[in-house]
Amino acid sequence: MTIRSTASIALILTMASTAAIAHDGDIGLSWVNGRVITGIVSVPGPGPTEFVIPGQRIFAGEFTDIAGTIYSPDPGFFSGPLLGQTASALPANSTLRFNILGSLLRWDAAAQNFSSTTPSERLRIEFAAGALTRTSPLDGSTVAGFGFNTGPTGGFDEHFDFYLDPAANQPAPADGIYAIALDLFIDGQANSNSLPYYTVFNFNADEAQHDAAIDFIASNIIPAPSTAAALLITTALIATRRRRP
Amino acid sequence: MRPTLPLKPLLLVFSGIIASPSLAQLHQSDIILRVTDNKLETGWYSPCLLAPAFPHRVFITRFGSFDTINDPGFDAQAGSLPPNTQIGFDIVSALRVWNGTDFSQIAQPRIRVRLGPPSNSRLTPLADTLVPGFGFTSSSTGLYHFHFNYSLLSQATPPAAPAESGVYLLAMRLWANNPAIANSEPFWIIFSQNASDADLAAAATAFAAATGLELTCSNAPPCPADVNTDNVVDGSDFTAFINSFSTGDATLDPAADLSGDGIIDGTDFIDFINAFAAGC
Repeated sequence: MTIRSTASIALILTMASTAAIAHDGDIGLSWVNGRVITGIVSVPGPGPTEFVIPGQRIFAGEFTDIAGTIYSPDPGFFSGPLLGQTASALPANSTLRFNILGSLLRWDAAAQNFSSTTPSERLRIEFAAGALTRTSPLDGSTVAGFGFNTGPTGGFDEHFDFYLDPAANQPAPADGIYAIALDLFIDGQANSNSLPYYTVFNFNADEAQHDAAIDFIASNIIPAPSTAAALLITTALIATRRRRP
Repeated sequence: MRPTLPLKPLLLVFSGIIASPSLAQLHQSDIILRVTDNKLETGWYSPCLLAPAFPHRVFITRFGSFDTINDPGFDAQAGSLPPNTQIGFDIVSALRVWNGTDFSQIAQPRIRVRLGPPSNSRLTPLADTLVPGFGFTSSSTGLYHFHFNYSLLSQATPPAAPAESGVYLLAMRLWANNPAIANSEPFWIIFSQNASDADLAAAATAFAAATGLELTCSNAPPCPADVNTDNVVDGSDFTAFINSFSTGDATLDPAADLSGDGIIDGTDFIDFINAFAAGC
């Protein structure tokens, strides 16, 4: 490699050699003892790096109606080091995949619980401008998702496209709160599955109900290490997630 | 300043960024947005300042699987943009392709910019005309973080993958749906489609030279890990930082207050460790 080309490479390198900022609400991913873990992403500060604070398993998104298509790009995925560490992002040059763990859940605001009836909506998850797509089942079965490369460092910032679709022969989805459970794993790494995590979407519903659904999952679905920890996690999520304008 | 970790780590990072065909990260180089003087402005996360820096108007990425990439994204921290305001883009001219000398040649392949349903997509024009884009709304705190999908479509009809290899130049600008906020200056994204490192470097360097735009840091980079300011990053800096950390008093050693918040605390410790690992 000549000096000139080396200099050019170094020049361009600077375009991509530093840390990310402003990913509030994304799903933080890291790698601990051969397992994918989910967490929140540290609030960007004046320092050079964001970190993943492990333990968060509930995330939020806001659906928007775009000409009749109900869509959300959030939450994204941010793979980075654990708080206080420098190198525990996901394995480099690996394939991160997901599973959809059962049907979409619809929040029943009156009952303050998720409806137990068969959903009339499906969640469609897409990547690469629709080149890859998966749809949630209508029952408790697992749907194997697609994968994407973790890149040369294992650190990345990726966003799936989420669509709220009607199930076959069903009307357009109603305003409301919807939740889905997924897990994540690395191809070829046995037992690397994350604990199931939940994304709670709001489609034109009251934010108070969104918060109530998040709180319900934290309190009743995901076993929390302690009441205080559950409260902390829920408070952190509500504080950092993107809210519907 | 004598570097202690000069070229090797830079090349390692670069080779990873450039070499991976399925690259989907480059989150470090998201386009950072703000409104200043009632005008949208694009910036980047400066590797020199270790902080957002404005303006910055040239960005580089590489198409991945399916001739598509969703980087660079657009980021704005809370308070950087007005809340609940739609921020969108326009494509300001035809897509260009690197011809070995410059970007004067209009490309026949086109880039489709999409976010969300297919109706939310725009194609680069085949002549220099403005294509109005679409936008998304900032949060109630002014946060904005979206990754548009950029797909290179071959000139075949219908487009067939993979699209033609090369280095492409996309010119865009940003607008807000608030008449009090002026459009951004144009900014450019340079896309590599299976191009060599040398071609990408040559194209980006030539474009920066021709436009006078900043491609890299224009100032000598600071070296935050050089706490004892002896122009060398070594164990003595670690000792110096620990000594200052034990006092917590930034007035005694401002260099150890890496975060610049007036105290030396755990944040500075993390910043120092990262800076030390990064070298200068």
